[in-house]
Amino acid sequence: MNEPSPAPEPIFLRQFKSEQENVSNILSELDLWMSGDARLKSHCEDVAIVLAETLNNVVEHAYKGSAKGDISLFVGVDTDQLCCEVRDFGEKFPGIPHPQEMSGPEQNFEDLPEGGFGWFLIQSLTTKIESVSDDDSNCIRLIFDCSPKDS
Amino acid sequence: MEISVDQYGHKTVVKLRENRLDAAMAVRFKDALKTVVDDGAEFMILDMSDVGFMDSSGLGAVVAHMKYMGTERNFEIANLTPTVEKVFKLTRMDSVFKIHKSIADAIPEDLKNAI
Repeated sequence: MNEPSPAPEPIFLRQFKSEQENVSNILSELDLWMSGDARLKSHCEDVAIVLAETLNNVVEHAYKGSAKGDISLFVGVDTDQLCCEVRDFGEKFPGIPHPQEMSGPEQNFEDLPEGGFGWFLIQSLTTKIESVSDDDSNCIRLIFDCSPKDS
Repeated sequence: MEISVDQYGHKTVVKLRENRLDAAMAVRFKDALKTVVDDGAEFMILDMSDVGFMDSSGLGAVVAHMKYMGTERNFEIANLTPTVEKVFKLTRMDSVFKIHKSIADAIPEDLKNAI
């Protein structure tokens, strides 16, 4: 008697144009998709924050605000990790910046930062970040630990 | 961009009636709040109870608005949802803003019955 096949691991894949509205809509869809999986549910918050920052960087920097660029987002689950891959075909990605500390209320009112939070949030909430760009495209791989103890 | 504006004594409560404050919304958000200040709000409380998600562009817009109001006016925040609170805490901006658990905590005692 044949063993039943194991259930396929969940996959979320979207290809879309580089518009902020598209990023918002895709992330709402991803939230719905993750909320339906008991193992992923507790990671919705972190993944949403990290992907929003990563995709915004692509729209603003790789495509410099042009709405014509192609972006692909792949989210897959392994035994104990969730992997998100963001690929674009825009300006060459300059590389993952060194982690920085955020300054708090000790600075002057006028000097409070209005930006620069993005990479800090990405690095704070991921287990590992890889840049696997080639000549034609940029690809960022964002890994989240989702071992059972966390779910 | 939808907001509602309620006056409680000298405090103006602005409720952001959107579920996301992100890069797609940041400019419209700043413009909407700027209009309320230009109309005379001196003490603004931003009610974020409907906002389930905020990214760094949204946070940047909130910081920019606080700077627009300047030190001679007051800007406070109330009702953070869990994801929004996480972004404030991770970036340490929770220590820059005065953040209330609820609108009732943020307005004068004698006006609480009006909520």
